[in-house]
Amino acid sequence: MPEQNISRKQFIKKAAGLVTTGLLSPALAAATPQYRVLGRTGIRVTQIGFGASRTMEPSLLKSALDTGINFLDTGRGYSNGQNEVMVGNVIKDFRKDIVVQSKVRIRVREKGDKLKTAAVSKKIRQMMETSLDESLRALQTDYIDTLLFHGATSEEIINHEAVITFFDEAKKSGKIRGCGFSTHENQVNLLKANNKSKIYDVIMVSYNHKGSYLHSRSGRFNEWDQAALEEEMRVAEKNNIAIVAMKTCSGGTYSPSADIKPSYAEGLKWILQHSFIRSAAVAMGNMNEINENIQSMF
Amino acid sequence: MKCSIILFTLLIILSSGFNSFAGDLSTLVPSAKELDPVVISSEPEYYNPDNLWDYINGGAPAYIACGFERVVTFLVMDPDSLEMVVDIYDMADSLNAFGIYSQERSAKGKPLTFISNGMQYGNAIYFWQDRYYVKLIAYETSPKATEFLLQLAHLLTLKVPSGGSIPAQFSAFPVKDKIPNSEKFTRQDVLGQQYLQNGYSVEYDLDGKKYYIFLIQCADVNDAGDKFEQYRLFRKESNSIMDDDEQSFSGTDSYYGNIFFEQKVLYIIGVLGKIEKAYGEEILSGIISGIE
Repeated sequence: MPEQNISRKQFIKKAAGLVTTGLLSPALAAATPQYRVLGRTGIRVTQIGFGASRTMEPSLLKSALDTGINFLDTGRGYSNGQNEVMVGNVIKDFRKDIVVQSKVRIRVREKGDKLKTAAVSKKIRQMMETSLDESLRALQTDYIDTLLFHGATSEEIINHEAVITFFDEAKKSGKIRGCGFSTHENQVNLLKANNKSKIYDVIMVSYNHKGSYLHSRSGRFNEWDQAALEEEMRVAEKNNIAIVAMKTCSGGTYSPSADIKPSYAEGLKWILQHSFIRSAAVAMGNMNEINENIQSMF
Repeated sequence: MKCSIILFTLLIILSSGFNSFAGDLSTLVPSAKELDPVVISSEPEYYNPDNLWDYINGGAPAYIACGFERVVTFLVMDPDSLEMVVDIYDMADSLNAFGIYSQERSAKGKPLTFISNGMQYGNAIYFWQDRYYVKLIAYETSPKATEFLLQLAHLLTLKVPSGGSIPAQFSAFPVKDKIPNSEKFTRQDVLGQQYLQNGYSVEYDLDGKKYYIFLIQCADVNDAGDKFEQYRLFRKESNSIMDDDEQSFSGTDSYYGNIFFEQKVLYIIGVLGKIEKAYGEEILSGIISGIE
C-alpha cells in the first residue's frame, strides 16, 4: 500500500546517513522508506511513526529520525509537557522536514447536561487554548501538523461545541493543519460517530493482529471487536479520514506462517497491509526497539 | 583511594532509595476543615499500576517504569469557582519520587520558598517529599490562580510525610557551568540503551553551548565493565568512535555532538555535548577524581 516515495536526492542523503549511524543492514540502508498520506490533510508521513511517549532521551529520537522516520507522535500530557520540550529540542533545526502530531489533554469530569453549560464550555475552551499555546512553545514551532484530543471516551465530548469550535479556529489561525482524537475506550463507536459527522481528519486507534493489547510496562489489558473496528476504518478510508494505529506491538509478536519466526516487525507488517492504516505510531524506548521496528518502514 | 571509594559508595547506599512506610493515601487528602473555604469539588479517585492508564493514558508507562505504586487525585474549588486538580503519587521510594519529578519539572520553573524540592511553572506546582510526588494544576493562569496554588501546595507539604533529599550521587558532579535544577534521575533505558539503568545526569552551559554529564550506577565493577563494553560496541557499530582506550573512548553522536566515556569501579561516566575534546576530557577526569 505504499503511495509516495522520496526523491532520489533525498534517498541518497538518507542512505549515507544510515550507513554512518549503523542502524540498518546495508540492504535496508539502500531501501527507501514507504510513505502514505494522512487522508484529506494531504500530509505525507512514513508508514512507521515514532511514538515519543516512552522516552525522554533526545539522542534516541534523533537516531530514529536519522533512519528516515518523518512522523512523530507526542502529547502535552506526556511527562508534564517535558516530552514535547525534548521533541522540540531535537527537531528545531529541521522542523519543516518532520510531521509533528501532538495531543491536548483536558480533565473534564462533568457529564450529560452539566457538560453543556456555558461555564463548562468556557472551561473546555480555556484549557484547550492554553494547552495548544503551551505545546507550540514547548515544541519551538508556530504550527503543529496534527493535533488530537487525547483519550476521547464519549461522543458527547468529541461532538461538544466548544471542542469543535476550538479545533476549527486553531486550523483557521494556522496553528494546526489537521485535527483529530485518540481513543482507547469505545473506539468503534467514536469512529462510527466521526464517519457520520466527518468532523475530524485523523483518528488514532488501538490496532494490532490480536485485537487486544497487554501493555508491556503498565500491564493494562484491553480488547475490542476487531471486525467492527475494521469495518469502521474502511468507511473512514472512503471518507478520506486518516487512521493512525497505536498499541501496535502490545498484541505481542506475530508470524504469518510456520516458517517465519514470530516478531514485532511481522506484527507491524500485518497492520500495514491494511490500506486504511496511514501510519503505525510505535512507542519506542530504546535502540533495540528502533532497530526492530524500522524494518517495517521499507 | 580504595577507602574513599568505599565511603562514597556507602554514602550513596545510605542516602538513596529511602523507603518509608506506605500509609493510607486517603489520609493525605486535606479535610474539609483544613481546606475551608476551599472545597473538594470532585471526590478523590484512586489508581494503581493496573488502571493508571485510565487516568493518564500514554503517560502511564513513564510512571510505572519509575516505580509507581498508586495515586490519589481530586479536584478542589475556591469560593470564586477557581478549580484545580491535585495528584499525589506514591512512587515507592524517595529516589523514584525524585526521578519522576526530575523528568517532569520545567527548566523555566520558579523554586518554591516553603520547600526545597519543588517548583512552580505557569498554572502548576510540583514537588516531591519522602516517597510522594505531588502535582497541582489550576484550570487557568492568573495571579489569583497562582496564589491559590501556593496556598494549597503549602498545606500539602504539611500533610505529606516529610523527608528525602537530592541523591548523593550528584555530589560527584562539577559545579562549574551547571544549569540550576537540571539534575535528573532516569530509572530505565538510560541514553536509549535497554541495558543501562539508574542514570544520574546534569545539564551544563558553556558560553551558550550545552553539554551533559551522565553517571550510570551499575550493580558492581563486573556489571559496569560488561555494560561499558556493550555500550562501546554499540558506538563502534555506529561508526561513532574516534579514540578508543582500554577504560575509555571518545567519539561523536548525531544529537549531542562530542562524547567522552569512561568506566570507574561500578560507574560509567559520560560527558556529551558540543564542546572541545580537551575540555570534555578535562571534565571527565575531574569527575573520576571526585569519585576516587
